[in-house]
Amino acid sequence: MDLKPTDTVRAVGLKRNWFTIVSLVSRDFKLKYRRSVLGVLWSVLNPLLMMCVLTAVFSTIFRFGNIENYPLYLILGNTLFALMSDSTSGAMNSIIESAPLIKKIKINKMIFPLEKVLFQLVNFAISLIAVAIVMVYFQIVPTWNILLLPVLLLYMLLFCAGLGMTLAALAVFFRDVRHLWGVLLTAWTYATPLFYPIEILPDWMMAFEKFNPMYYFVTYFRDIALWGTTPSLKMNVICLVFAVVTFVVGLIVFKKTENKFILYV
Amino acid sequence: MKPVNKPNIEPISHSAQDDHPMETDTRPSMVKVEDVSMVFNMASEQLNNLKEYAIALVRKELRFKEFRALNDISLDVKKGDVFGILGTNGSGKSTLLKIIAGVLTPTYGSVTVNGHIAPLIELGAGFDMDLTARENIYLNGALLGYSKQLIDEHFDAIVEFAEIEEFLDIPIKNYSSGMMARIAFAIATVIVPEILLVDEVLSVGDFMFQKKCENRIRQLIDEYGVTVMIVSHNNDQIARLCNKAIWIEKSRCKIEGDAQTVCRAYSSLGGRSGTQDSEDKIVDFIYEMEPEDSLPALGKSYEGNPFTISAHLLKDSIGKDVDTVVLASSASHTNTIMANFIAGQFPDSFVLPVTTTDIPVDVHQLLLEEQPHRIIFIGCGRKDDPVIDKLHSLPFEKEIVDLSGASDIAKYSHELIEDSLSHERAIGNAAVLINFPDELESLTLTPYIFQHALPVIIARSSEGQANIRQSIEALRDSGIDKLIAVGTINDDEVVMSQCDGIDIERLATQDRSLDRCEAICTRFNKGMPQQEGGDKKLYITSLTPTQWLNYVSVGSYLNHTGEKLYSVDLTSLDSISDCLETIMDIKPSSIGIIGGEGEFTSLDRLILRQQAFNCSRSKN
Repeated sequence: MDLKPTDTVRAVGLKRNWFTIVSLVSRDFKLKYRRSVLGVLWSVLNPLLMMCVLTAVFSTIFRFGNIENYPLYLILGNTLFALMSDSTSGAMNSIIESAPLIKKIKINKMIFPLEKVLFQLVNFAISLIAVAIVMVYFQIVPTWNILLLPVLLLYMLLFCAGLGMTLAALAVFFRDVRHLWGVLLTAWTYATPLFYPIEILPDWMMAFEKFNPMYYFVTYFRDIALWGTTPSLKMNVICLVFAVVTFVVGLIVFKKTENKFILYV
Repeated sequence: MKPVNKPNIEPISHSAQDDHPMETDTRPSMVKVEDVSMVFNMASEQLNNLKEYAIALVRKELRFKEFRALNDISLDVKKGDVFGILGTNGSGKSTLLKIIAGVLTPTYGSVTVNGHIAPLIELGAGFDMDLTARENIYLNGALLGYSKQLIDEHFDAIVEFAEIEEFLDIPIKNYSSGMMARIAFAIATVIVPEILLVDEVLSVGDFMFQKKCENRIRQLIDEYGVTVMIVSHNNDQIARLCNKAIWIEKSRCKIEGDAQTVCRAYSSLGGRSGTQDSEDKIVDFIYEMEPEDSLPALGKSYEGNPFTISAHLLKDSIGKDVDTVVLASSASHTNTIMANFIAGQFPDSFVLPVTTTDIPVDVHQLLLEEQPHRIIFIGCGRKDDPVIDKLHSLPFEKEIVDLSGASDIAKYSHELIEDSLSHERAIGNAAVLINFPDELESLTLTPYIFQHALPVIIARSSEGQANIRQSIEALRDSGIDKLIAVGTINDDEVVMSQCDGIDIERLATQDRSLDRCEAICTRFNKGMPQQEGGDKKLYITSLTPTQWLNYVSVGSYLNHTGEKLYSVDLTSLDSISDCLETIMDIKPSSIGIIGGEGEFTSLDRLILRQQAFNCSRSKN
C-alpha cells in the first residue's frame, strides 16, 4: 500500500465536517430511493398526489374550495410543514441510530442531527418542482418576491436544526420523546392553517397562532409564492427571532449533554 | 511503493531499551494518562423514561450506585512505543482505550494526547449494510475525517489491500464479516497516523488476514515510528508486537512495565486462582526476575507420559537391585495407594503403573531389563485382566502374584489386608482410613504408606462400613493399635471404626485440599529417609486430580533415594506461593520436575529456576 504522511492531505475543522455531512446526506439519499423504480421522482410525485387527495377531501367535504388556487395553497403549506416534521423526526433519532459510531470514534456529534435537516432540505428542494408544476397548471406567474425563498429557508434551517438538536439530546436520555413527538406533530399539523383558511379560526385560536412559529413560516411561504406580496419587516423579525432563539436553545442543550450521550445510547 | 516524507524519527530498538531501564527517556510523550478514573452511574442508567426519572429525582436517588470501570490509571506512552494493554474481559481495558480515543471523558484525571489518533476500534462501526463497498469506503473515510481527495488517491490501495476488487459494487450486507474487517482495516491504516489504537481487531478474519494486518502494523511501527496502543487478551500477540505493556485487572493497574515482564505475569496469573496476598507475591516475584540466560538450568527432571516417568524413576533409584515389582492398574488411583501398602511389605520393591489392558512399552522394556523376581498385580475389580496373561509370557523366571479382586474398593481394601495378614508379612503398626474420592491427599500419603507398609482401609459411605469393622478387628488381632483417619471422612464412619484397644487419630480435616496435603506431609515428613551429605535434590510435581498417574512410582522412588518431593497445584497461586517458600526453606542444590508433557509451562520453569538462583545466592 502506498503510504502518505498524515497532515498534508488530512481535512481539518469545518472542511472535515462538511465532507462528512455531505457523505451522510448522499448515503441517506441513496438509501431512500434504493430499489424503487421511479426513484427520485417520488420526491416530486409524493407532494403532488398528497395535494390531490387533500384537495378532494377538503374542497368537497369541508368546502374550503373557495380559497383562490386552493391546491397551491395546500401544497405550499404541506411541503414546508413536511420539511419541519421530517427533519426534526430524523434529527431526533439520529444520535441513537449512530450509536455504534459515536461509541467507537471521536466525531463531532452535532453532525448527525444537522445532516438529517440538510437531507430534508434537499428533499424539499426537489419537491419544489411539484410546486412549480402546480403554479404552471394554475398559470400563476411568480413575482420578484419569490427571490425571498432562500431567506425563508435560512429561517427554517435554523429553526429545524435547533428543534432537531433539542429533540436528539432529549431522546437519548428519555426514549419517550420519540413516541411523544409523533403525536405532537399531528396536533401541530392541525393547529397550523395548512388545509383551512386562517379566517375560520375562533378568536382564542387566533391568539394562539401568534405563538406558532410554523404559522409564520407557512404564511411567509404563501405570501411570496402564492399571493405575490412582500413580507413586512415585522414578519421577518418575528421569523428570525423564532429561528435564532430555537437554534440557540438547541445548541446549548446539545452542547451541555453531548458528553454523556455515549453512556445512554 | 516508496514512501514519501518519511517522518524523521530515530529508530528505537526495543531490546536496547530493555537493557538500560534506568536510562532517562527523552522521547516526547505521545499519550499521557494521569490518575484517570472512570465512574459509571448505575442507578440513572436504568432510568429510561420520564416517569422513573421524575420519581428518582424526587426521592433523591439519582447518582446513587457507582461503578468504577477504571481506578486511578496512569501511563505514559512515548513516541515510537508499542504499548500493550492486557486484561481479561470486563477489566476496563477497552474503556481506557475509548478514553484515549476521546470517545469517553474520564470522570477524574486527565489525558493528554499529542498527535492525530487513528482508531482501529471494532472494525466497521460506520458501515452501512445497504451501501456497496465502494460507497462505504467513502462514507467510512469521511467519518474517520479523511478528505475526499485523500480517499480518491488511496482508493485503489484500499481495494487492493482488502482484496475485494470483484465485489466493489455489491451491497456490503452480502459480505462476510472477515471481508468487512479487511475493508475497515485497510481504510483505517491507509494513512500513517501518529498514534494508532488497536482494539482486538486482529482477532477477526482468517489466518492470512491476521498475518497481513500484523505485518501492516509492524510496517507502521518499524518504518514510520508510529506510536501504537494495542488492547488484547492474547498474550502472545502483545509479547510479539509490544515493547511496553500494562495489565489492567478489575479496573486497576496490576502491573506496568516492559512487555516481556507484563506478559509473563499475565500468563502466569491469568486463569489461576488464589488470594490477593499470594497473587501480589507472585507478581513481585516475576517482576524481579533475572534475565533467562543468567538463571541456572533445572535439575534432573522426569517428564513425558506417566509410564516413561515411572520407568525412569525405577532405573534411577534401585535399578538392577529390584526384587519385587507391584503393578497398579490405572483403572483407579486407589490401586496406587494399595499397591504402596503391598510394596512396602517387601524389600527392594517398586510400584509401577500398567494400563487397564496392557503393559505399556516403557514398563515392559523395564521388566525385561531388570527381571524382578516377583511381580504382584493390584487391580480392584480386574479379575482375569489381560495384563496377567502378558506377564506370564515374559521370558524370564519370576513369581507372579495376582491380587486382583473384588470390584468394590472398600471390600477390595479388606481383601488385601486379609491377604497380607494371612501371609504373616510385616506391616506397619498403624492403619490409615481414607475416603474414596479424596484423591489429592490420599496420593500424598503414598510415600509414607510405602515406608511403613501402612494398611489402607478405604471408606465408601454406601457399602463399605461392614468392611471397615472387619478390617480393623483383623488388624487389631495382629497387633495394630492405631487408626489414622485421614481427610474428609465423616464422623459416622469414624464412630463405626471405633474398637477396643485402637486409638483414633484424625488427620487433615481442613476444608481446602491443599491444607490437607500440607497436614499430611507435616505429620509424616520427619520420619522419611534423608539423603546423605549436603547434596539435597528437590523434586516438584504437579498434583491435580486428573494427573495422578504421574504419582504412581513417586512413593517408592522417594523411599529408595531419600530425595524430597513437593507437590504443587499449578492451578492455584496459593500453592505456587507456598511452594516457593518451601523451596527457600529447604535450599536444595537442584530442583527437578516430575510431570507430564506441558504440565509445567515455560514460565513455571522460569519461576523455579529463579527460585533455585535465589537459594544459591542466599547460601553464599
